[in-house]
Amino acid sequence: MDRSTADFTRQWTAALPKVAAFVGSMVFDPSDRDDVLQDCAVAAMTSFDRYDSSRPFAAWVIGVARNQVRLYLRRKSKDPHVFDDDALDALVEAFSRVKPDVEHKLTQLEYCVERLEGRARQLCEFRYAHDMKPAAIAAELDMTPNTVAKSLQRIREQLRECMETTPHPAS
Amino acid sequence: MKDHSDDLIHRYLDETLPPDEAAELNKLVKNNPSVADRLAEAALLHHTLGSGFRSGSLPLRSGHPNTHTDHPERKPLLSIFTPALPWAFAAAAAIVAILTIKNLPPDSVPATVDGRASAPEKLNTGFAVLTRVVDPLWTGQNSPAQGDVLGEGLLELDQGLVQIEFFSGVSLVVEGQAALEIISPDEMRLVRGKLRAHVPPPAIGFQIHTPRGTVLDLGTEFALDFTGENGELHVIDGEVEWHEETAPEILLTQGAALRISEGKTANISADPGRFTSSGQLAAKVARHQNQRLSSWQTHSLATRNHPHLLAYFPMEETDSWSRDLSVYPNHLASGAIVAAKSVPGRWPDKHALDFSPNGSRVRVNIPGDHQAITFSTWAKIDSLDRQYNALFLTDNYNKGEPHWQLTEKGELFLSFGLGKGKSHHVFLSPVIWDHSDSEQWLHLVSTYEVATRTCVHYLNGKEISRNQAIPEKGIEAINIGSAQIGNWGLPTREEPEFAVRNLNGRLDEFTIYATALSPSEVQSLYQAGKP
Repeated sequence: MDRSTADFTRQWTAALPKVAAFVGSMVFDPSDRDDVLQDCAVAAMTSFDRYDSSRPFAAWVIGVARNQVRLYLRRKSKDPHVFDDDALDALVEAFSRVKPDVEHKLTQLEYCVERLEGRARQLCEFRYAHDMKPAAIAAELDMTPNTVAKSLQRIREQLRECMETTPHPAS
Repeated sequence: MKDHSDDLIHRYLDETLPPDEAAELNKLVKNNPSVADRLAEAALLHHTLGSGFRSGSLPLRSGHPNTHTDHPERKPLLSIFTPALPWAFAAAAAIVAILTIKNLPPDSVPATVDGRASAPEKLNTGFAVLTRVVDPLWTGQNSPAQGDVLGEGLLELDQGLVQIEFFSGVSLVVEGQAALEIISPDEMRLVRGKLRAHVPPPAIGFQIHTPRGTVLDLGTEFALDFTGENGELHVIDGEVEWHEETAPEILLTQGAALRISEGKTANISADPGRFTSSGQLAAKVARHQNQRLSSWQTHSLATRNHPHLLAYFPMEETDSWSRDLSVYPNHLASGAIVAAKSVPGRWPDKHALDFSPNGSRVRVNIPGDHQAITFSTWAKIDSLDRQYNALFLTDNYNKGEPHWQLTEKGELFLSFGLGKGKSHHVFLSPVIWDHSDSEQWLHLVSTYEVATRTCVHYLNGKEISRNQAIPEKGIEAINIGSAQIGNWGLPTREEPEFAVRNLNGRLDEFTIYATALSPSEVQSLYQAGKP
């Protein structure tokens, strides 16, 4: 592997969670999301020689991803989508701004998920392991979709608090 | 305000936001950076939860819900792209993924135009084909067979000689003991061992990484021999470049060679004789095939005298125009070949029958009532595109009459008619064939015993399933009578239509025994007949 490929791979790997989260926040269909992410990788790889290494790589690559996401949203234009170009740009900025300590805290997620009990744990698994929407979960658990949505919001807030208050094992 | 925007963000991520509130969120994101920030953070958590559970980094506690719908099956290439939890994501996987993607032809990137995914096309993965082998002994995880497509992953050849042809046109002869890794159609890594590479003009630029540096081929032929960090590079024909991390590249031309030892590079002269060429390999392969063929011939003579032999078609016909297929024991009438073509079998000098032409079959007649049966054949299958793909079927399907075939899914299928109005009983094996096996000769065996109502299926000498029918599904005896190899059904004047079941592939050697061979007997049949 030549040096630029190795360099690209290293940086892409580090930025991947952010890029994937960015793409995932705009593209909900799982297989479309994978396709767009793959297109991002190809686009970033082929234009890597234009990347100015004095800038953060994640910010650059999210900019590349933005174009792919826009392209995707255009193709899907029959479906109303939430964000217009200005909002998309605002989100590109926001994703580029995510501080390393936020990513760092995510390493506590396994511990915090383990501490979810009973129904909370079940809801979390239905939503994320089985990729079910609140309506489907509601039908399964005999709840209302609204209660499920509220509970999911609470669970994510609980996880966020847990990650913030749990010291990192390395620290 | 914060609570309300958080509520919008969460419902957006759960895909439950109605259009009017979506417009509100859009406005908030545009005008309020802190809302965009919170959305980004929430999305990061949302994504990490999803990929963590899907990759198994976050363990599941509850069972599957009854009504859950899995999203469409993930393509393997893409699944390594969906990151696991950030800390668990192996950089190696990304490297492989990037290199794979980099070399994908543009039209293989899945397109979803207008949101309509195109119909799934059969996919195979890999960059090269294992075209010739002589007594290979593979260690490690991958042990490919001749004809297999080779993808990423370490190949460790402990003994023997193999030829690998890359899709780019590069052809390699590798000598055991060697370890190598294919990266793409034009890039590979030699971990250790000896190889000789032929690079034709369309494949110029082929690279082989070694523990010390990289060889870039500028056309034609070179050889490598590496043990650890020490090794040699010989240019047999044409030109190559040798790149080391810290040194300027070296251009080597025909007859030149480098010895890399203890970090130092010295010029020596090339010695092509040390490396097996593809011509020499071809000669070895031919010798090896002749040995296998003559050892099979000896075994075939013994099969003719097997005490329980019911019918044996060795398929040794030398006259490809003859429509008679000889059979042992001699008192049986020879098989009648219809439409099937005489083609090379397991070895170039051995015949087989290709049943792919329309209407192909061999008509046979095997009298008698039997208490047990074994069907055995060698098959090379191009595709299983019929609902049922015939191996051997009786013309009718009366009580005790067997049908031996392959299903569309690739399962071995042995069934017996149970009499008027009682349908039949089917014994299925696990799936034994898929498209990647189309270059392989497979040894297929199925046995059945009336007394125990037990059917055993074998693939390449190994038992793959054993099933017993309930007493109500038993039969008193097995009868064959008029039957055919490779097809089914004899249309009549009244009913000229017939099911298309002819096997899209070749059969080489077909044997029926009036006994259920034991697992060790099946294993020795396989050993004696394997190509």
